[in-house]
Amino acid sequence: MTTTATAPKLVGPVKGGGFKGAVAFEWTKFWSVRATWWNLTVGLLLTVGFAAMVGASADASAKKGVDVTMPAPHHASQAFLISQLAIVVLATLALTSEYSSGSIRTTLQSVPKRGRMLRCKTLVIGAVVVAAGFVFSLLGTLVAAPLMGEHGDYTGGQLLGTALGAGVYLGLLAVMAIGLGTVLRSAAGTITTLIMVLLALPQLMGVVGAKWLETASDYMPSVAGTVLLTQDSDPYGGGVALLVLVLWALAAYVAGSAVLRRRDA
Amino acid sequence: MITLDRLTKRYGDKTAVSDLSFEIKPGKVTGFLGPNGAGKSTTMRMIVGLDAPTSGRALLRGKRYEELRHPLREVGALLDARAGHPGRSAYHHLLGMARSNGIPASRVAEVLETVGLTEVAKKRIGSFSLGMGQRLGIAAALLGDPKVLLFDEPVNGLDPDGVRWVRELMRSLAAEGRTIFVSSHLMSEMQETADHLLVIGRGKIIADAPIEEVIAGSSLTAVRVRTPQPDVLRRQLLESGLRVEPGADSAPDELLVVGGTLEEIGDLAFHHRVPIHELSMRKASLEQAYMELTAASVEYGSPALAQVTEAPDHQKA
Ligand SMILES: Nc1ncnc2c1ncn2[C@@H]1O[C@H](COP(=O)(O)OP(=O)(O)OP(=O)(O)O)[C@@H](O)[C@H]1O
Ligand SMILES: [Mg+2]
Repeated sequence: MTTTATAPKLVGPVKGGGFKGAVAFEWTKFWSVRATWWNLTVGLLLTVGFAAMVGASADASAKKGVDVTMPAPHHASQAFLISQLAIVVLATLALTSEYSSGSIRTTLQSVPKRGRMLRCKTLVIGAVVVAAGFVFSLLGTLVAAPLMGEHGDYTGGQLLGTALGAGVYLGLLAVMAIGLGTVLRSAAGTITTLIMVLLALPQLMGVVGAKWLETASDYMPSVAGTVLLTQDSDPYGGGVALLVLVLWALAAYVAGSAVLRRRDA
Repeated sequence: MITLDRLTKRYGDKTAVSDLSFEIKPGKVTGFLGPNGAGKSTTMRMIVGLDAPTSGRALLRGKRYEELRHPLREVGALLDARAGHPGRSAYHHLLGMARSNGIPASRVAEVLETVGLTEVAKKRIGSFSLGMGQRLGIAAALLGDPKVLLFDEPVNGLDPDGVRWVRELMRSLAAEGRTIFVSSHLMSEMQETADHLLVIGRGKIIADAPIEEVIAGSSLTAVRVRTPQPDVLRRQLLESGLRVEPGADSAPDELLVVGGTLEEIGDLAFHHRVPIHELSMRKASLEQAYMELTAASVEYGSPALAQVTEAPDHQKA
């Protein structure tokens, strides 16, 4: 290895850095690991794949008496029940891998203002996930609708509404994952907790039989997510659903940034 | 310039760093020595704001690290642990850092060249050997062309060529007026690299002095005198308050005088008309001086260590 014993000088004016620099830093880190590409690909394949399955079985479902009269985008969005997990993994790893690899030390040496670091990371990942959710939903519907035959009708408004809902829902889910990941610093712990919250708990709360638990389960994030995806008005409308999701995301984020500020890296 | 002001760090009831006050000055290589667990890495982590001090402060030109606008342009640090995502390439690792501090992207290739990693720039960090990882850490520290550089055991895992390169690099960085703070367990390396030493043990300062002073302070640094009248000279030396030890067994005409200068002892012999056949300085090595200094504060020592410190090594000049 050839080396030089004198370091080259850095010339030119000192500019940049700050908030914009921190965003560029997070952007560079996000796209320069394979996990990002993997998870986005898996998320896309799961969304489109499951949407296609749901679409193809629409006829059979209709014959069995299942209600398939809902518009195709809403129908196809059932795929997010599964594919949301790819987004959870994506956002979780972007945070927890900093701790498992030790790169958090480089990150905080580069951007020592911890609040700023977390804001910028959340902004980058959140924005990418919103865009991904939007695109996944569009593609899911476009693949599923032709397979649904006579049940595959939808309006442009429904298509866009669901795509927007998917983007917002997944984006807020990513914020939750980042917040929780910052608290737990472990990928396994964060992903397990989120699977519990998203999939297992709403089911369990329903089967216990206690009325208040059933009511509470309506405010779990995945229930609010379904409202956003299908522009439903049961158990509440889109506005409440958005508020519920924002509160979940905010709670996780606030907890994460409190821990980040306090604990040694 | 780094100022440590009553810097203290406790983990639970374990005090890792205790009330450390010290100034690390520019234009010098300041060596940071101490046994395993003495608190060196903890101190460095506190300087760059990764660990919060329990009390006290670490300041860089009067500011806390978090307050620096472009921290990488002011302070470069190679810390002891891994600092990169194994799946990211060396190039992207440095590129991200550069972007965060408004450093032009062209700088990345320059520092990779400096540390000799140009050919593996696009390789994943996870595939790097220990020494290559160290080189990447040094590249990261140099990225912002900072005035202050911290290196925690930089030669760890480097090949002999790399060790020499790091030594020359530190010397040249210090010669440019930068503040270099470097920890190491390799005393022979330190002896050739450092100007000033900060020795700590169990989190407390044991020595803070120029390296010559630390070596001169060792009981193994002595003046060797050969004389046909050793008994006469010994009496005179003891009377003037110096410590005298017998020389090698095979040389009954030899005395080892601790605490005096060549001039003092020469003059004393002349004054008492004792003939002198040899008068020479026997300098301890830094390793010997260090062993003596830290003997009492080694926490995780091996039982054999005590013997090493007691056996004076006559070979070493
Ligand atoms: N995160 C931590 N939690 C608890 N104790 C810690 C932590 N980090 C360091 N310590 C303790 O603080 C003390 C100082 O550790 P430190 O790593 O600073 O020593 P060091 O001088 O760098 O040692 P070495 O020469 O082995 O690198 C040790 O007793 C260590 O066990
Ligand atoms: Mg250490």
